[in-house]
Amino acid sequence: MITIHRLTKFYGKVKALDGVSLELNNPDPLVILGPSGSGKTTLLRLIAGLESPDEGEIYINGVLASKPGWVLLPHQRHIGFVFQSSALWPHMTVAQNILFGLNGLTKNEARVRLQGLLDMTHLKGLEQRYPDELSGGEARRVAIARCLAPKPKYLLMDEPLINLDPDLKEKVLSLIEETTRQTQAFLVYVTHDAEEATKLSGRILNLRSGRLVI
Amino acid sequence: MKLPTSIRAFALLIFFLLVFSPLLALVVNLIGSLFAGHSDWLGLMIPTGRRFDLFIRSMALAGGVAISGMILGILGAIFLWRWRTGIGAYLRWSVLLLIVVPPYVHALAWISAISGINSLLNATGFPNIPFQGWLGSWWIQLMALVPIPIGLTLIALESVAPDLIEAARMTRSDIHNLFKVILPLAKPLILAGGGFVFLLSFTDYSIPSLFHLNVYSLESFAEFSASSEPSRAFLSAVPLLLITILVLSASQGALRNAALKPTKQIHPRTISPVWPAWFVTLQGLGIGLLIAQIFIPLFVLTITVGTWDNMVGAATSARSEILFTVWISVITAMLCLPMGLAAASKLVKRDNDTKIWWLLVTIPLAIPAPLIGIGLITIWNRPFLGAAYGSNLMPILASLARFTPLAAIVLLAQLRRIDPLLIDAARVFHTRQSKTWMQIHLPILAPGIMAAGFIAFALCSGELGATLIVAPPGQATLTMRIYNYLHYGASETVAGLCLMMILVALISGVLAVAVVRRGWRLFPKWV
Repeated sequence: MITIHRLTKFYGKVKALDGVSLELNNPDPLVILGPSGSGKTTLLRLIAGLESPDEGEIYINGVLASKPGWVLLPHQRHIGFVFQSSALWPHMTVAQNILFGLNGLTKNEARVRLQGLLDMTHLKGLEQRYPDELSGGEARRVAIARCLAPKPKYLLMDEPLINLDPDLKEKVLSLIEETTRQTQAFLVYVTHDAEEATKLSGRILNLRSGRLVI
Repeated sequence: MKLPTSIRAFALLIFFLLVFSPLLALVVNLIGSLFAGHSDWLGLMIPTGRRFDLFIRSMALAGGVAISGMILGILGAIFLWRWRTGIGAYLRWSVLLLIVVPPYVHALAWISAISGINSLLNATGFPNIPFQGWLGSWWIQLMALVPIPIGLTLIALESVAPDLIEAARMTRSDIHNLFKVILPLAKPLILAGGGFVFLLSFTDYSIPSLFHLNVYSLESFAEFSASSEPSRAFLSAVPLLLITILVLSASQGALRNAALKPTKQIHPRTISPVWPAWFVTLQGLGIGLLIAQIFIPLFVLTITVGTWDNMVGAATSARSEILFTVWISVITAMLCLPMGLAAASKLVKRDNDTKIWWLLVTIPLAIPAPLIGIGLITIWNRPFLGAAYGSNLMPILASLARFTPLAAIVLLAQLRRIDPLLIDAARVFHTRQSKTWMQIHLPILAPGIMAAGFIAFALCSGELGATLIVAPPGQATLTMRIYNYLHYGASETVAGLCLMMILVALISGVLAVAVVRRGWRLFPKWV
């Protein structure tokens, strides 16, 4: 369970988040809907531990993870993050990108995990390709597979369908639903697109000017 | 972003004439010598015996300086990378300013500092630090050249997309991500920085000769002094040229991309990386060396000068050299701008032709300075050109040949920062090309022009390798005077002159950074 308590974040004089409180414990995905500049990405970055709050705290499974001036480092939180861009490392193959986050596995275990993820994300045959040899949809699927590889308990997705064709959006959205169901990870999905939000069967929260609107 | 076509073509022609004419003159002279029956001279191209030893020694020295420079560059740049807001944003680039301080100034400061340390060691019964030969040459070249790898590594780190780093941070530790993601992505430019340092170290003879270390780059100069035959000097420099052109060709792809890629800013509020203790210790050592690189010259020279009167006395005694230096540096800085701009406008595109233009513009950087001087003598030392040969034109031509390509690269960086839409918008309203150029292009380019001018001024005022060969009789630059003094040890006078050189270099550098950062706002009347 992730508990967010009165989270506030400033960028200069601008209040990006204003006392947001939330509990993420429902098995259904949580969709955060809001226009540009409403604080959606900031909220995800704070949950991920990429930034520290100016006020408030974040607890992960009851353990303090963020407070003003202190954060538990991102890789210690067991959270997966899919960025707006696919953010694939261009000097690594698809397989290397996916396996990057795995630590302490034998070669055989890593190979089995890779095959499972390639199957799940329909990427079989592409494992030796480099990111610049992939289509936009394939790159998003690799980003999702990479995010799932360390078996995170929570998945944060920041507008993962942005810049994709409508057809591709449908496919990637189904993949996201399918993979989160299979992995039983808790999904926090951020979008500015109301239609996209309603397609994901989950709880929808509106964020406006840094505040949650019920 | 173009100069009017006819002016650009003319400026380009002059650029190539100035930059390549010394080398072409040497090639033509060589062909003449071969036809005159001196084909046995060709053996000079292959270093054997003592010359082979010198060649290997020079490679080892340059390799050592390049590798240590890259390591120090990585440690320094990673530290400075996080300083992205407020005064830190200015401070981190200020480290790079010392690149315009001539190496012999570092030499004088460190020789004085080590001499002081050795006195203390002697008094306490410890052995001296052997600061002659390899150690001194390596150390001074490292101190003088380290701003290059730091700067290029910093540019490389800034070019890594922030989301690639943050994606890695979600699953692995920062130190793991540094070695697996950040450094591999920054590698081309880090290696280019190392290559550039190698090139500069390999072609420099002034610092090794101060520390009584013979290196191969002195061979062409020595050959010319002994035989007065430009062809022999050129042939003996061929191995040097081959290596430097090879290194430059290997590095130029990365350099080209660095000038073309916009830098990407990590979000200023992103949590800073957490490094393990061993890395922090290593970084601390690196930063300590960088601080020494900045403060030792300032501190030691100030102590040696002693009083303000001594400083004034040094300036007065070198009045004619200072005036001569300022005069030729100002002329060089002004002349290299239109030619640099013409060359930069050929580099700005992203097609295959650009690669050839890049090679043409950057190859002159690989030509050792003495060869440029010897080439110029070959062209101008003729009875009907006597007036020009013995004039102030020669050091100006030498500096133009050496530094116009660098001005072109600085101007290219500015050209790349300009949104092409601004130019398209200007085209909608202005039909006359010259009016568009004067009212739109020039003000937008002004920061780059000013920065390139300041950098050319500083580099020209510190130039030694070519000026030493072509300076007119009875005239000397400040650098030449300091260099001559240096062989007799440090004194208040020479320390005062060196401090003056640092001030000139730093003021030029600060102005260059300020105009680039403040941009067109410094020129409100023009815009």
